[in-house]
Amino acid sequence: MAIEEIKNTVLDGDDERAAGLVQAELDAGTDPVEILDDGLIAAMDEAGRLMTRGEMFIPEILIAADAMKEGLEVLKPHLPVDATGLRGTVVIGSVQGDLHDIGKNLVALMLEGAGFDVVDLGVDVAPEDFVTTASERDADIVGMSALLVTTMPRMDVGVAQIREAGLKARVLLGGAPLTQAYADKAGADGYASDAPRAVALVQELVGQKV
Amino acid sequence: MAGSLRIEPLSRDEIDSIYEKCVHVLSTYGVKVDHDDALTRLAAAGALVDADTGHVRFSRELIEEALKAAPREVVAKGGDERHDLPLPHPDGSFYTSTCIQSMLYHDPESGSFVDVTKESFAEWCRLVEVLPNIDACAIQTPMDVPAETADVHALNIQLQNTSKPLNILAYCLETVPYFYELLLARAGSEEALRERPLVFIDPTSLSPLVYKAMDLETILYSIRYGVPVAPSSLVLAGGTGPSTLAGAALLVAVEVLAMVVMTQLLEPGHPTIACAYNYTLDLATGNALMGCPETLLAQAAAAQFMKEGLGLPVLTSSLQTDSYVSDGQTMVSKSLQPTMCCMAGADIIYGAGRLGGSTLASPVQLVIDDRLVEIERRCIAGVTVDDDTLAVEEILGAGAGGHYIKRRHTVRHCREAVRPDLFVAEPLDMWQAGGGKDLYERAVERYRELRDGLEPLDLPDDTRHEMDAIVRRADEALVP
Repeated sequence: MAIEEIKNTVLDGDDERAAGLVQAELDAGTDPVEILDDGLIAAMDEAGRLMTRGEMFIPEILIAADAMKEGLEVLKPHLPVDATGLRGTVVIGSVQGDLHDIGKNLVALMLEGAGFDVVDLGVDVAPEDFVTTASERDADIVGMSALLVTTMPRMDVGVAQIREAGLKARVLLGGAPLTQAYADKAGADGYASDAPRAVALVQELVGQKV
Repeated sequence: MAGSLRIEPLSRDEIDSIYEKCVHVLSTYGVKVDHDDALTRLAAAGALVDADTGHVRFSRELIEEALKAAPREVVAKGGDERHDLPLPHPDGSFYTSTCIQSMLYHDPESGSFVDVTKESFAEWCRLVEVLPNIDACAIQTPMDVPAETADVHALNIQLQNTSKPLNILAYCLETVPYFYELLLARAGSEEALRERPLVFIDPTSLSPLVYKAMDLETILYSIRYGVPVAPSSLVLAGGTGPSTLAGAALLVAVEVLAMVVMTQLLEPGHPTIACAYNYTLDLATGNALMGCPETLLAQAAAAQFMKEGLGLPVLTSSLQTDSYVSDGQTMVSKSLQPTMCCMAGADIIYGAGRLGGSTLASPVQLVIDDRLVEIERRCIAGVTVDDDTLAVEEILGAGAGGHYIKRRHTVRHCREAVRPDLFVAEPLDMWQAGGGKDLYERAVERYRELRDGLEPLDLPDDTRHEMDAIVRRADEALVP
């Protein structure tokens, strides 16, 4: 019942209360992994389902994610090493020459909300910076965004450099001028036309590991 | 009322309130500008510049001085004076531009979307040249050229295939100089370009409150060559701007006003058209909506503010839709948006030919929009009331049970009604005898008829060769 309350509090986006409830549940001796799985992670899974049905909106998802993260901060020191609460690591950025970031930011926020460790490199990111960071963080996914037609070719270079470096990371492309055909031509592993589809694609490629 | 119908999304007090809030934001917080030369020049002109951060603030006095210098009337000129667009429209009506930056055209033969190519964009421009109600031709994105110079290729295609005013924007800082080389080559000299600038160009803020080097570079080049600027803002309500209608309209007003002020400080009196391009982020899906009621209302409010509050000619993006086909949804959006935005103060609306999203267009929809605009123009022209149109003598002359069909008054007025010939205005049996075709089918037929007779402009060979050489130089310099 108390864990159910944690889940509902996260869904309500009440970050202070979520952290307090997690601490109270730890104090009561509940298994931390149970709090993670049935409280925090379950809340975000439910948020994803509600969004798919049009019953939860993106800003509500994002504040729920903040509440989940507050709870996770309290929980982390008590979790086993292999149970971080994170589903994988995503390195993301707008490609070199492109200063537009609203789409990229939205994807980053929603991925965080879905339980991924997101390394946001910002805008105007050189291909080699994607490679370096993905290597250092052992990233599962590299996400590249572009709004300008003139910067799209930097994606081709980025994909090629990640392949040449032999990284395990799968590469996803997105942005208003992008198409599945362009992503295929660039040799990417996927393309998403909007933020919810990007999250679904990352989940599909990385799996639901926790 | 004769002239043009008007709506007022904002009261006078609300316009004054928005203006005061614009001044507050620009004088206390300001905007961020990523262009060292422009920052130096703005500081010299009196703006409060923090060279370290790029923040620029403008005092109330400076804003009002700049607005006083901005021309209330601008003429958008293309390659042929027959197509000049005096702004505001002398009859209180509005002009149209095609949609911008399309990458995919809907192909009526296959029913699918195909890449815009050099050839298909050239055909599009030639189509604009012959459509009577499409007044300006916006830049598109040919996909069979290097991406790094797609905008340079596109402008060259526009300049060689239509003499109507061009609505353009550079896609990156590096291509800006090539734009002006092309314009100079087409015009023949700096003097000729200054007299007939061929284009109006959109520097576009990076909402919220950021101006890229490309935006200021565009303004500086435009000032140098006398090319009108049409500063725009890409506020996406709920994403890059407040989610409320008034807040989104205010942020657009702030960002556009900042560019108007910067332009006027750098060159007092430079021709400037204010753009109201609000869009709405669907907070349920993350999709950017072009044709929803919130986009329409925010644009209408921003248009009225810029027209009445700032006194500037106004361009809105009000021929948009969120539908991916030429269907009823598209027609609803393309009817409501232009009518309301023009009645609120827009002088030019862009988006003719646009389908859903920001990259899709249809030549057939362009043909439909050409006729739809004719209807909208007639509607907002309103009702003329005078002794002749009230026709009291005719009513008394025809008397009880009489008719009007061959009275001189009827003969004199019988050709005034708008006849958008793609729209059905015939009896049922005649329509059935003609195949019972719907609007889209009739538009496809019209498009095919027009397409077969399209020609490029008759430009001197040396002009054409010079322009093509500029594009080749851009490719050599910018394509790896």
